[in-house]
Amino acid sequence: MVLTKTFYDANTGVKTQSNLSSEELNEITAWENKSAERKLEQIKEIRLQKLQETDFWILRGDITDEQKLYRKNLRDIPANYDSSKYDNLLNRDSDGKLTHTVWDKL
Amino acid sequence: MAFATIGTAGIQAQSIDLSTKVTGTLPVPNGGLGIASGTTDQFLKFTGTETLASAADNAGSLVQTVHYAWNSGDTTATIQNCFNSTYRNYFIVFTRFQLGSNDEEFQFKPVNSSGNSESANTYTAQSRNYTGSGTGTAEWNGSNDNNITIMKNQSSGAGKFISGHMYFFDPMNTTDGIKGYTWMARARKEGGYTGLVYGGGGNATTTAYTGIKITTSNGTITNGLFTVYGIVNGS
Repeated sequence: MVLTKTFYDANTGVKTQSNLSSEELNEITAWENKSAERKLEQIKEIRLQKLQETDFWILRGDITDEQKLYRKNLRDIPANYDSSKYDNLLNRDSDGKLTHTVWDKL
Repeated sequence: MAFATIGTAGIQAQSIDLSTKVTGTLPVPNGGLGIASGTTDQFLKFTGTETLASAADNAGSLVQTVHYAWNSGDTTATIQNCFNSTYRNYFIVFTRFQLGSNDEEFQFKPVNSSGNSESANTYTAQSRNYTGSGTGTAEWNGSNDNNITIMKNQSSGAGKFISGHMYFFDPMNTTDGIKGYTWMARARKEGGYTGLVYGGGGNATTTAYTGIKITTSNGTITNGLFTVYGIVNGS
């Protein structure tokens, strides 16, 4: 697909369309190559939120083995899931709820 | 004060032919305008208690400098000369922006008179999302970046629009540290939930900025309306 850009001069009202330069195309390629990195960043943000939501289990002093396992599985996400699984981890249903079981609280 | 002259021969049978028998201008206190002519498309304005003059319309405190409708399918658009030396600060409204593919960033790049952006933007942004089952937050920032990321991880598809506003302060100032911006934007995100972003930053450069390049990190932009208003300088 040919990617295009438009230049619009507010003084003259003249609009000119052309193809992206090779430099601009290289910028896009570089950004796309970091897709997995960005997804992992999102996953880590969600993981932090989930861990913070369950910190009270520890503070309360009666955390169960199942609850310990849930938190361990969250912490181990980067080790247990490679980049091919990132889309599954970030998938949400039509209500916006994350669908992967690793996020499910006990 | 000039007075209208009425020829005596012009007064007949208790009537005056004003089109031919009255010369000069009738003063305001006498029911006239006190002027011989005005300027096309201007209004009459009292310049004294008894004097009128032709005057431009009061444009208000926000004056549109550009309105741009997105050329569907473009990746970027450079809106040049939306900033000028008349106004110090600007109010920008962007609405109906819709991206062409998933996981894109919606970005602005201030540009100089040659249309080039600089790696001079330092900013911070925070987003708050309602996810359907709770709330989530995300933060991002840029240090000496050549773009300002207005919205991250935006999805494409029906209803997934971005809209918001930005204040751009002193874009044409050439003293380092004075140029700056704040923005707030909302979008419908993946899964139909709502995202809100607020952010701000500045440009560490002495170059005057005269325009803004609207762009996406990759892919295309389908729709969008972009309007810039100059804010009349305080006095």
